[in-house]
Amino acid sequence: MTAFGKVSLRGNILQRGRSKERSRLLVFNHAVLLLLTAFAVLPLLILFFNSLKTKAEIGANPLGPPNQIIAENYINAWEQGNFATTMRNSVIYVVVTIAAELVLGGLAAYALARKKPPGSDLLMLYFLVASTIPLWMYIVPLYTQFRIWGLVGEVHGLIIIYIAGNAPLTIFLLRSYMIDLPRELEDAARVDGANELQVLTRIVLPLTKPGFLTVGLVVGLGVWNEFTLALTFIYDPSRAPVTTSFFKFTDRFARDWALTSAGAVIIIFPVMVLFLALQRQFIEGLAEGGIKT
Amino acid sequence: MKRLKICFGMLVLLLALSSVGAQDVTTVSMWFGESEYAQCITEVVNGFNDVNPALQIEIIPQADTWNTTRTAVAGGGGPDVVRSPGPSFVYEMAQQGLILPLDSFADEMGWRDTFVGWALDLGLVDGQLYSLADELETLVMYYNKTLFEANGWTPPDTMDELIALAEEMEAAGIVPFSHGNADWRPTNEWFVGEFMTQIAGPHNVYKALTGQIPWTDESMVEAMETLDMMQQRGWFGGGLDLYFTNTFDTNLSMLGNGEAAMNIEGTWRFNGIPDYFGEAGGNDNDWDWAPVPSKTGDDLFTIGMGNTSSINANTPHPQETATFLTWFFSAETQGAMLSNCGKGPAPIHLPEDAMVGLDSRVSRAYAALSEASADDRYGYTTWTFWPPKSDVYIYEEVERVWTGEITVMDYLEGLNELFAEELAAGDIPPIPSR
Repeated sequence: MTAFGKVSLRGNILQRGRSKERSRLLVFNHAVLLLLTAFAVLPLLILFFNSLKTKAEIGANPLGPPNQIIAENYINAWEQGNFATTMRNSVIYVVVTIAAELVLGGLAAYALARKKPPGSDLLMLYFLVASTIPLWMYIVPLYTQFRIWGLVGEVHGLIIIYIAGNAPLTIFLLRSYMIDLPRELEDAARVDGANELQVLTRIVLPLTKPGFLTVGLVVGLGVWNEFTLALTFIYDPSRAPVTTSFFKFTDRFARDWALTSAGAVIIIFPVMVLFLALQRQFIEGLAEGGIKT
Repeated sequence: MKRLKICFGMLVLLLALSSVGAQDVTTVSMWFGESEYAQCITEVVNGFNDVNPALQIEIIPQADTWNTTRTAVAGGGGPDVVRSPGPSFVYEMAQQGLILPLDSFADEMGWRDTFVGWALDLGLVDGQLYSLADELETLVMYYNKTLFEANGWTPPDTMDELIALAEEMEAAGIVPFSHGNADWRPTNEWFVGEFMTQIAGPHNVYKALTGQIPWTDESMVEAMETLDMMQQRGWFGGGLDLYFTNTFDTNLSMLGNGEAAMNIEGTWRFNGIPDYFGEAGGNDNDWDWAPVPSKTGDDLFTIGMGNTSSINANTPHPQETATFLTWFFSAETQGAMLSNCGKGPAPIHLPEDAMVGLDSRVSRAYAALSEASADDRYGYTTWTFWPPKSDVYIYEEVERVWTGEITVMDYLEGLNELFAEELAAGDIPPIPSR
């Protein structure tokens, strides 16, 4: 056997060894991933199973597939939960809040990132502190003030609270994006005659698009899932959001888990579709926003 | 001059007429939780609205009613009729001046004749009436009637008979009680209050609630030791571990399919229990109820209130709100809400014909409760008659007894100490004298 042959043989053995090691690692990785997938998917699967059972079967068989499929749970949940109305309302709350948040939050974040007005650091600190105060500490004064202003029970009153409540997160996230953008790009645009608004709309916005998308998704999900403020500030059932539908499946000490499960599937379905469609941008946006702080 | 006077007179008349027209309709609002049959109550209240065009009642379905109500009322808004989950919740609102005293309305509108003797006392805060009790409730022992008949069992009358029957069930592989607290931790207090009343007796509980005897009295020790014995033997839900994980659906399914034989629960369950029996429950079984067995064999019923109604201090229409409450608490209206909506009646003088159309098992329960209340055979539910800190102690700390961390005596000594503090501070809800 030549020296070349020996080297080649040793290379093959080494390669085979590495390949086996790699296969073992792959099996391990896949096992971990499967476990994590099961961790995420199984609760949803159980939720779906329970949405097709009777109350009595949920009690006797809370985890397994249904013995008899009760599809009427979806019809009953839709009607009893008044989902036709509450879903429409939630879409309005979500869309208007996101739109206002992106415009107002985007402008504020740009100003804080680039213009650095006096006291901007103090303002950021204020946002940080204010956003950590629990809702129950200020809900009564907020209610009192809104009642005086005639905003209790009004759709725009609740939207104002949502916009204000989400503003710190929006500004933090967008500012962290904008602050690390190369200034040279903006300077080049200015040299080419762009004014400040053009710099923002033509240079900064396209570069921070994933950030805006992330903010839109985070704020949208928050408003879609919000419950306490909606319950406190909206009385008229025709203006109630989708989360309040869940309370229509409760009695004094318990809830109808069959209808609750069906209602939950109805509520999370549009969110899941949206998230799956935009998940790449969402995850990238969130990761970059976190890194660039 | 005369023409001028006539013109002026006409003008005054027109203004008066127009103002009458403008003030014609007064709207009084009342929030009901979704779970509290809001739709059905609305239909009953429409009967009032139809015959009272000048006073319209607006029933607003409001989820999480109590939390939203207290936020709104504290913020200067809220409904005209303020509903709370029980007399002990009224105390702070009354002290903060958020609700109106009702004594003058009670005299003017005859509420003292409408309600049974002790009922208005429940709404007293510092000697003034602030709330009207609603949704009378008690605990009963539901049982799987088909299973009982198949085994030749009859509902026991005494605690000794109950223990003997439970042993027989245990030997037959049947869980005696389908109990569990996974959905609602205060489920624990149902059993503590019930065993104190049924074993120590309502008179001893009354004495303890009024500070005449300590909670460490031997009658209370016996009650708590009996309850603990049942938990330790796994009679509640099949074992202590299962007790802590069984949900209401699980409990009622066990009862419905015959895996368990009995369940001590409130009269609020009359609405939901049919879902777990017969075709709806996927079995061929039927249910019934019996009074919870007592030490003496007397039929004793603990009394509780699920709700109260008060008048919001912010309302511009207190008189109209009181007028509506008079109608709301009338025998006809309470009877209609019980028969049509399954809402527990207020503690008023309710004639038997007001319960026409009810399932005979349900009407029998309310008739028995009414009889017991008139006959001095009533006891006390912890959530209505115990002060707030003691109430929380009762259902939280009893778990430490069941898990063997503390003894029954430790538990009762702790309760005694806490209760004494609340008694001294005047935080005890009103206890009707007996």
